[in-house]
Amino acid sequence: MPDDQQLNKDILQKIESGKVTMRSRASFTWKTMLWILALCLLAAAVVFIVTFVVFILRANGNWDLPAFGLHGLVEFLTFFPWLFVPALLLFLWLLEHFILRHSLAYRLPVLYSGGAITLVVVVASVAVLATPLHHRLFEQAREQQLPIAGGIYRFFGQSRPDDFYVGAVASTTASSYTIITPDGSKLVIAKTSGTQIISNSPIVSGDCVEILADEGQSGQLVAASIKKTGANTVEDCRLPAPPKAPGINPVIILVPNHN
Amino acid sequence: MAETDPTQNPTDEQLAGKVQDGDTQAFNILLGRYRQKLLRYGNKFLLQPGDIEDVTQEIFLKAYQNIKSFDVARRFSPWIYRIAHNEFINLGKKRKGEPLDFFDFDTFFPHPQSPDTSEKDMDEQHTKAVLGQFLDRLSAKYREPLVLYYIEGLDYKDIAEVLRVPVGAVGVRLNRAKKKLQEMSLNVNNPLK
Repeated sequence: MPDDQQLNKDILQKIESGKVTMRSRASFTWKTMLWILALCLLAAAVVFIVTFVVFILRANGNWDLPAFGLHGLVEFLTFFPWLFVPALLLFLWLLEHFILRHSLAYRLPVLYSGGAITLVVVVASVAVLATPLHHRLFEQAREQQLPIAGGIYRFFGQSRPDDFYVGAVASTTASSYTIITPDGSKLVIAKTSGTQIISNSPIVSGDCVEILADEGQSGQLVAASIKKTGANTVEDCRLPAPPKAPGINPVIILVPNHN
Repeated sequence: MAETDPTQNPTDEQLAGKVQDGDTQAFNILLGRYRQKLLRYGNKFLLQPGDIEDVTQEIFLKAYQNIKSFDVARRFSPWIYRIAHNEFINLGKKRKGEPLDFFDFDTFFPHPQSPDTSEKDMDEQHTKAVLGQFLDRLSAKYREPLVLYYIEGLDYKDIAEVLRVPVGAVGVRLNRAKKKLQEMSLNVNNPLK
């Protein structure tokens, strides 16, 4: 018997003896459902990391550092939470890898599927940042009510350069600013003719400011640059203003008093 | 015109549908149709086709196991060649000295899609002639589409399904592979050049 006929015979023998059986349609349906679930989880992980990094940068004020020029940019890059970048890249690669299993994706250039993923992540991230999700998690973290992730929120949320100060202006003089920092302490920072003021309007009491300051020879802090932010309170100096929950409005019900 | 009787000469897809319903004999017919093709594909694709028969058996067993995932509305040949591609790649990875690096920037960017009918021209005969002579000198990335196109007779679309790359990338790989073959052929004919 020729070898090729033997091959047929061997295969059929394995099938007919029951050693090899057909997988049911249900198993493929399950596989597809698991694939969709994996895609959703990976996409959620990517969006969570992106929004977490953006939130943290805004929460600790580092988001505004590049506006302080080269010095600020260097500090921004130094204090950027790079730890999350490899994780983000890994999840993005896995997401692309999973998506390329589908014929709609692998028939198109990677540029298109990558572009579609980027678009979805950006839109979803903007949507998530418009919710109070991270604000609430950060608040829970500060109140020690968030296990595991709480430490991460606290560590990165308060991580900023040593010469970078955030606070609400309590008072100003011709030569200094007194600010109240988010932890409630009072800080006097001198200003000189060399202090760069990044603001269209004068800085007055109540303004929320970010200051890059160097320690002078006398040990006093001297502002190199000061930037007014949009926030108005000490709380807002630390946290970007949480958006209002959509669709939730206070309702006042008047109950007639029959007495 | 009278339609062909599907019971006399059923298509691969019709046979696959019967296999899904439990007809082992229909699978035997598919075995007969694809056995030699897959053996030839493996022999040409891999540089050291030592265990091709065992792998071919594995391909058919996997095809049988997964036949219910096959959509009978689609073509059967790219489906079974895809299984074969995966099995041959796995075999190649197990062996040392069988470089199978398929990372390709050609899949990243869109390419103008050249119609594969352009191949039905005069240089097809020439390409086929030099293919046997120089195939083993090409990397697997170029060897495989050449084998699938010129030897197995698959079209661009089917090759794209087998390799899971955009159709434009198949055209790019084939054109580059042909160019390399031509260069090799010229170097042999004009060794001083």
